Amino acid sequence: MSTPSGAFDETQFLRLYLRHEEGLRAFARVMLPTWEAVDEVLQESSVVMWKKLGQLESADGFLPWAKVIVRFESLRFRRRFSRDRAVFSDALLDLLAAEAAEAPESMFEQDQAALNECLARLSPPHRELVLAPYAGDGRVAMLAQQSGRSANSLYKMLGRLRERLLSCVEARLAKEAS
Amino acid sequence: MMDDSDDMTLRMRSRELVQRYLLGAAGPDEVSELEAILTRSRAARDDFRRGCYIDSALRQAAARLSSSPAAAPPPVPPARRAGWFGPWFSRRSLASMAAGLAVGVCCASAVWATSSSHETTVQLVSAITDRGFGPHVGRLPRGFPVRPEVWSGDEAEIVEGRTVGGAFSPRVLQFLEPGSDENDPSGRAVSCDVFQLIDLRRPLRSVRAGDEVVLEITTRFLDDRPANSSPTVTFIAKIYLFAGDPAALHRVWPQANLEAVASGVSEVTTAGGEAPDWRTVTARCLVHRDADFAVVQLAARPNLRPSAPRNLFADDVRVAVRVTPPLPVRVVEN
Repeated sequence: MSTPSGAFDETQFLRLYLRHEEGLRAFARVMLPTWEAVDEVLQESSVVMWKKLGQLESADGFLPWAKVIVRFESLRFRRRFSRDRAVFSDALLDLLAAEAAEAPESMFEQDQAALNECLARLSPPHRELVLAPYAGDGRVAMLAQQSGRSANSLYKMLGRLRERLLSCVEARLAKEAS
Repeated sequence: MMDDSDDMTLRMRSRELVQRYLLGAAGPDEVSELEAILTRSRAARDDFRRGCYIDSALRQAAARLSSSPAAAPPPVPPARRAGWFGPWFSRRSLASMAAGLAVGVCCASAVWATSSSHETTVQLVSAITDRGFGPHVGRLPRGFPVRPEVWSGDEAEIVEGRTVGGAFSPRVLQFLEPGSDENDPSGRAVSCDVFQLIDLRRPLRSVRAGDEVVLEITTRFLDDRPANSSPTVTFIAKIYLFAGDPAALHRVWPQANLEAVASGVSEVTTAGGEAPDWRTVTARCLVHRDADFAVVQLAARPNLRPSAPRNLFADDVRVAVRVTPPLPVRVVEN
């Protein structure tokens, strides 16, 4: 792959991208209804970033610049879902994207650190259940069948556990801020 | 005019809907309700954004655990239920299994081994004697496999020996080019995938109701590029379980992967290294009673496209069915 002209070479770009990749993924999640869509958009966005790398003037400007690209690619991609899934309107997604773009860069890292502490406080079975949706396709439905519960009741339980995690994260962040 | 209790109720409802939305469990009416709340409430949008961030952090945590089997949390102890081969897989059982049970997946054969007198039985599926990729070198057939026990897929090749870290592998699989799927002409070439179908009907014939059955694939990947090579590459090992006829799947792949009765995946991301070494990954999948066959998938996905990095390899594929009978129950009368 050839190197675009500009201030950054391939290695520097890759370092910047990898440093901010998870933050960009979280940013895309705000606009996209599934993780498959997020992964696809990140792939496409990285190609666009590489092609437009000549526009980037400084390393400090990478994240806002990359968010613009991810936002555009997310809004473009989500149109695929508009016919067959219950998704938010373009107007709401624009609003969510704009507010997420303005959020402090450190917010995701702080949430992440607090979440890891809160996750460690869950009982092992609850932690397993909370992580199950990310462990493979249909894992939650499988757990529901195994436990003899309806998928809906298990999702409710998952929702309550996630809300508990959210409250824990908020409490930790509030404590740190005070 | 809304009072504080109305605000609190609305916020609780909003947060409940956010979680259902992020879990993919919200119906169209709930999504509409959430949209209405988010549109008028800045606080609800802040909650939604934080919910997305937490969702991202959870996904990262799950990925870390899946790439570090030793750190995996204990399983959920579920209630046993008739009709399933068994509940969530048991780490205790896996830990007690015999070591060194290795198979490749080129030649069809089945071997049974017992790890202890009364616990887990390990059935090796599709064994190969040299723990590698068979006796023949050369390009793999293209396209999704049309019959069991044969590797095929995107551009990939079985190549002669490779010595890594002082260990010699007689034949290894080299990933060459990402490819798109035949049945999805508009799809893009995201990764180089190779597949094999494994018929499970015979291996599962002797499984009894109540047994815990887990299908497991272990393989190792090598990124033999210089340190900090770009793009990074994600190696993936995945299992899908299906009901029906394995020979018919190629006509509806990849769309049919949504019909899988279960699946399991594990992955590792690399960027080469000064002293490259094999990275072992293991994916597991609880076996559903409806499962007739499995698809195992090995993939190398460059994380910046388009690109087709070379020197990416796989070797030592092992597929095993692990069966753990239910614990015996004794009735004690006072």
